[in-house]
Amino acid sequence: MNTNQPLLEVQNLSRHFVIRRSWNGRPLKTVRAVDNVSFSIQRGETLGLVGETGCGKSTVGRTIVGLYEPTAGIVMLDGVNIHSALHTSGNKDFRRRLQMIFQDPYSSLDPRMTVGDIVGEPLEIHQLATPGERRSRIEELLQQVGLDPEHSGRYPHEFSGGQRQRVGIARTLAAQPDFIVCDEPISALDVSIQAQIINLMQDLQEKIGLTYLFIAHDLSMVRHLSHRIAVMYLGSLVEVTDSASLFNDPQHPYTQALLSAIPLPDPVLEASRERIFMPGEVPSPINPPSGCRFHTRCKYSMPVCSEITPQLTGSVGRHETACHLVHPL
Amino acid sequence: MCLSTILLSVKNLHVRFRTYAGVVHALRGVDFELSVGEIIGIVGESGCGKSVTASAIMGIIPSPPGEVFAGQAWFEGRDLLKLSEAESRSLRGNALSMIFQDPMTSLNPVLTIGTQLTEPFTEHQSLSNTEARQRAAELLRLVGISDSETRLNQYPHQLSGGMRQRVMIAMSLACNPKLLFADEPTTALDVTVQAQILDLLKRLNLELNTAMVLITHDLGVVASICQRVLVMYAGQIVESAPVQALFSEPRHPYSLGLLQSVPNPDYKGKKLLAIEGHPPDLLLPPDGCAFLPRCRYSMQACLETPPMFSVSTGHKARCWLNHPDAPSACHEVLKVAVAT
Amino acid sequence: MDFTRLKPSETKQHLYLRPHVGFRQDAWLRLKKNRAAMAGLTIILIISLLALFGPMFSPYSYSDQTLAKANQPPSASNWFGTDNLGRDLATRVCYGARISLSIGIVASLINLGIGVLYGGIAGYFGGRIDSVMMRIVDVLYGIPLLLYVILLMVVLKPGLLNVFIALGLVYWLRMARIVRAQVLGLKELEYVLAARVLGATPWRLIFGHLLPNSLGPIIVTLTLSIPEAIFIEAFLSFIGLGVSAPMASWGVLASEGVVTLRSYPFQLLWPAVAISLTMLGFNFLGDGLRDALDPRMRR
Repeated sequence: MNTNQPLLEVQNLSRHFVIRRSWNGRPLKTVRAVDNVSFSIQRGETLGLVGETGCGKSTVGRTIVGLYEPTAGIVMLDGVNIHSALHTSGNKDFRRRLQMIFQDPYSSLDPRMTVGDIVGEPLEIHQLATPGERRSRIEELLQQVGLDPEHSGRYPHEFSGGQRQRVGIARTLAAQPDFIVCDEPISALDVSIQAQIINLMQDLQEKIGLTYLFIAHDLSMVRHLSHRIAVMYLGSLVEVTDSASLFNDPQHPYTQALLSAIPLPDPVLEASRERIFMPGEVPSPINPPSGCRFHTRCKYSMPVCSEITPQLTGSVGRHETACHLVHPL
Repeated sequence: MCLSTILLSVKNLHVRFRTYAGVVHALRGVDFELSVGEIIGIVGESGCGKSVTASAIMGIIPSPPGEVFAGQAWFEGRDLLKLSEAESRSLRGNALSMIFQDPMTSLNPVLTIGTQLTEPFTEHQSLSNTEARQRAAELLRLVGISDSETRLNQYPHQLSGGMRQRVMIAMSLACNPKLLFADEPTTALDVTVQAQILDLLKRLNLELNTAMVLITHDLGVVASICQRVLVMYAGQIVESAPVQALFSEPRHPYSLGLLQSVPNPDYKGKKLLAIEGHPPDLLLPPDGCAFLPRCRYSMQACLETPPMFSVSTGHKARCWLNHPDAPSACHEVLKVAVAT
Repeated sequence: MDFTRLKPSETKQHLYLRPHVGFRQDAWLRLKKNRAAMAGLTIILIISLLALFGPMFSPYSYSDQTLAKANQPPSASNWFGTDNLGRDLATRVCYGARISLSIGIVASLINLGIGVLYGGIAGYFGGRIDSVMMRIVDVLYGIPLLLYVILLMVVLKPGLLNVFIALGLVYWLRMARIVRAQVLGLKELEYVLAARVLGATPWRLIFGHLLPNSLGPIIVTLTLSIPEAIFIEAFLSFIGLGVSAPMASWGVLASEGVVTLRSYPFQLLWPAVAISLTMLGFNFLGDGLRDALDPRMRR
């Protein structure tokens, strides 16, 4: 096994949803939620995936974790094609290595199960603990995420949102995964609780050596946790680089506009800053604009932008951008 | 701004809710004032009572479980909390208005935008349908929606989230209210749309001189358009300050904690300084300072509920650290924390 | 004012948890408040007791004939009177209760066994399997239940066991639809997705997550389908296709009572009241359960 091989590799991933078919089965209306997305993540790294509603980031996350089949392209974990491995029955071990943390603490836990049973379910599925060890392992996991093991007999509705999210994290950890897709894990929580959960996730990454794909729309939180960040717009990646560079030197016009839209907790800065305004709204993913999908709202739009779709170009692993202005053909 | 007149004056507001488990004291003594044309922000986390404050003043708290059992809210010479339902209703949508968080559920899905937008005019101003429609079209233009005629005939589901929120704002401005409550108006929107809506609110405030109370949990939103900020915790206001003062010199550990929970681009540390613990259950409101269990600067005095202390003009904080007799170390401790 | 620092131990915040009210407790509390439902429950309990113990305390059996005492109105020795063959009506009504309740139980078991499983599988797998399975249900559902059962009973011979069989063949349809609808709705919830990602087998997903969370509608449908089963059996027996004499189903009693309605109305009264009360009881209880188990009304 090549130690430089990325843990996760996504190549030309596309995921389309057909929402209307003609009478003979021919697709009439297709939502191109994800279109030709490629990136990779190294072991122990956190890649942040940001974008606004409808950009496809959640779909990317769910496809990677196996909830959807790709329409095109492949996803590989340690060089093994995920979707074929998951279909091979008897390959339970592979399933265990690739896990997900969900967004809504109110619907991500089965309301009819006690917290202890919820955390213990992966142990049963993958036989990771003997019946004797089960109880102590559950207590260990609860402690690891900052919960009191005494409460393992309680039900989810008796806990607050932040505590429920911790239970969800404990459940994921129980499976001893290598790679975790975090689908907006803090968006539904209060600000001070968000900070607690982010710290917890960071601690766990350092202690256990986890690798994260962190999907979110709050750029400031993403920046804090991620080593690298990828920005998505309408199903495609527009910019991928390390966190510091993204904020200090955003190259893609969409990234620039996005960054300027974030309200900063500093009234002096807010009063003096220049906002870049993007006219209009995000186009529908059913009929995305031709060429560069952003060209309809971009103030630097050139004729070539509506004709040819720009590819992610730049120094791979350093700073890549999909824009004709930044990387003229 | 020295000629500002007080538009709304809330004194000692107490609200409680009867639940199966007992009585929840949602508001435990809220006092504040709002001047004509001012934009203030109420910041706090879930359960602190910020939405309840607005609902109580608007008179829309559901009465069997909820009860305003003390306090006054003076607006144009009348105590809003003592009005009859009919009087309250004549003010709502008229001089007092409110917009809510979720634009998807705030608009009636089976009525066109036109129908919903003309309602305030026909209801409160007795305009004819044609006149109302004209005014509705004007309103849409005011909130930045072009081709108003087409939009008036559309249904809510045909508009995007940002558009719907604009329509909501238009509806709330129909009768030129003196005071607008905005309860998390941008929380459900994308950040780019949020920027547009905040900008719109700011512009409307300047053009129409409508006072606004912006309820949010996002400090960035507060920093961008509010002039003054009230920080709420556990049913009380714990700090009230002009916006710049709050961010540069918070005088309550909770305000400080909130500021430190948000990643600051200049902050080089690895971990966020989270506030440990969680807010108290208002079924059993704690004696003494509600923030005590989570506070890094707790003192013996904190076992007694602190009153509001004046820090400087327009800046008050409900914390013993600001007591005039407190040792200077107390006055300095928060400054040091902010600097790091 | 004392400004000395407080030690961390003095400021410990205990984790507050609302009083532990589990699902069952909460549902029971809500149910108790509903007087109609409690009345229904009481009726059912009384009828069950009568069914189980009534005949034991009676000096008569359901088929003892004393022709001399035929058509007697209610008296001290025959609390409900006698029928045209001198049989004690009270005892016969109690035996009838046994038959009706057993139909209720069997109908429920069939609903549970076949209906829940069928609906659960169709809802979980979706796609073509679901389409095929539900088309079958739709076709069968199109035939009025009563008509269907009557036709079946004409084919089979009258008898209690055959009533069970005929009912069993079609009684699960409504439950299947309801469970399928529930499962379809629950399938996309995050905790089900989480279980899938963790590697749960379809078996575990259906029986560990989807069905337990559908218990509310299942229980309600179960309770509300009992009165229909009871009525169908009574009706079949009334028209002679169900249980046959001398067995004492309420339907049989009613058909005997109809004949003598003008002269001895009490002979029809008892079975009619019995059928009506029992059906009402289950309906009230079912309605009450529906409200008590509704997750949205959970405070």
